[in-house]
Amino acid sequence: MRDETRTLVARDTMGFALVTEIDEEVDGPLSLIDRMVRQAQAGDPDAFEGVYRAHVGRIHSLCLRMSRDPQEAEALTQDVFVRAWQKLGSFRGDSQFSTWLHRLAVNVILQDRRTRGRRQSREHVVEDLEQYAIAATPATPGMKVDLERAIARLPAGAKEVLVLRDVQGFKYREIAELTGVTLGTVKAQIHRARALVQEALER
Amino acid sequence: MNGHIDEARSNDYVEGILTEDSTREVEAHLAACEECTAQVERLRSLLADLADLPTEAAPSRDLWAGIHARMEKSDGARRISFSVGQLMAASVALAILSGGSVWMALYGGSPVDSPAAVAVSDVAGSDGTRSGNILPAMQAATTEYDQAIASLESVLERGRGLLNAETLATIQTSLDAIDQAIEEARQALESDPNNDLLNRLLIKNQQSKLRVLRQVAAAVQI
Repeated sequence: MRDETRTLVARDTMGFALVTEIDEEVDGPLSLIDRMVRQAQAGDPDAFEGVYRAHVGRIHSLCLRMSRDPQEAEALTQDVFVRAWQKLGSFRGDSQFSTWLHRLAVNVILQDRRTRGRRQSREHVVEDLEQYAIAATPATPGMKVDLERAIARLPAGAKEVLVLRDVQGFKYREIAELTGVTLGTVKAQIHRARALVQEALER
Repeated sequence: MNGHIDEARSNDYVEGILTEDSTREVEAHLAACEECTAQVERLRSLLADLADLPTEAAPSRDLWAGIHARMEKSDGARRISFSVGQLMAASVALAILSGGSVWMALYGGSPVDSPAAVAVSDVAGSDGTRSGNILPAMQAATTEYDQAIASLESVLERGRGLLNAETLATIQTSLDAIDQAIEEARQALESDPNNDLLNRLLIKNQQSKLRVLRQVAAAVQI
């Protein structure tokens, strides 16, 4: 049986060694991310660092756009990865890991908003949106600052659903599940959010 | 179609989620209405711009050190072993939650219907003193309960199709909570296998699971 397994030694861009034994008879070929996730599920924090580095850009972008506050976005990003580490055992591979992580991130963000919402208004309007745009697209010319500003100024609920649907590509049904509102309400909120963004852009 | 295309319909049209009939209706209207055509084009352009926004944004600093520190703290918390007293308290709560008479069976001596449970009811008081003569009976009882549980779990598996999703989810939540309690008791027993309180705790949790499974079995066998 030993012949059916092989030891993979991979080195990610950050230079940590990743050693996994994979029974290819059972699993078939796995991507580097899949292998890192498996190693992390087995309790290997170095492998989880690889998972973090592979996903931090997208997760931080989501947190930044949903919060519009760089400090809060970084705190949320940390929360997401700590929660992911704690919940890794529940990832069964039914979906792509990145999908699982994004759903978890949205849950963390919405839960945080609900918690804070009881204490204070969470509607931040960041005037220095260029700061976000530069952070988001360091190598992309022609940044859509006006569009980012229009999104940032949406009411919190409208912004959440618009970002999830039109930027992140979640399905209506998934957004309804994540936000705990009906499908019809989600659609109405998104239509309204789009209209508000259009109005802002046409001003 | 009377009047212009409303907001919901134009959104559904641009996203391609209208029915074929509705799509044909909208397109027929658009062919004759410049105002609605312009509205649909603006919406289409907006959705394209939104989809084109960057979805990568590196944080201004490396967050890994903070995450790693919190992971270690979290792992440390997870490794904290429960004291026997804490486990017993948790089990009392579990027994109350599952609405059963397990505690009575253990400590009050009420009639029970399995040899294993009778053995448990004979256990000496709840003060944690060891009672070596009863220990083998308790350990045998846990095996008996495991067998009974396995048997009823197979009934649950066969009967899943007869239960609605909500009921199944409720059952699974209960079973998961009990399984966790059983696992914690087993882990504690690994380092102290002759502790009679822990053995009773394990049996009590098994009894809780058995009671839930019996209810389920009765429901699916009606």
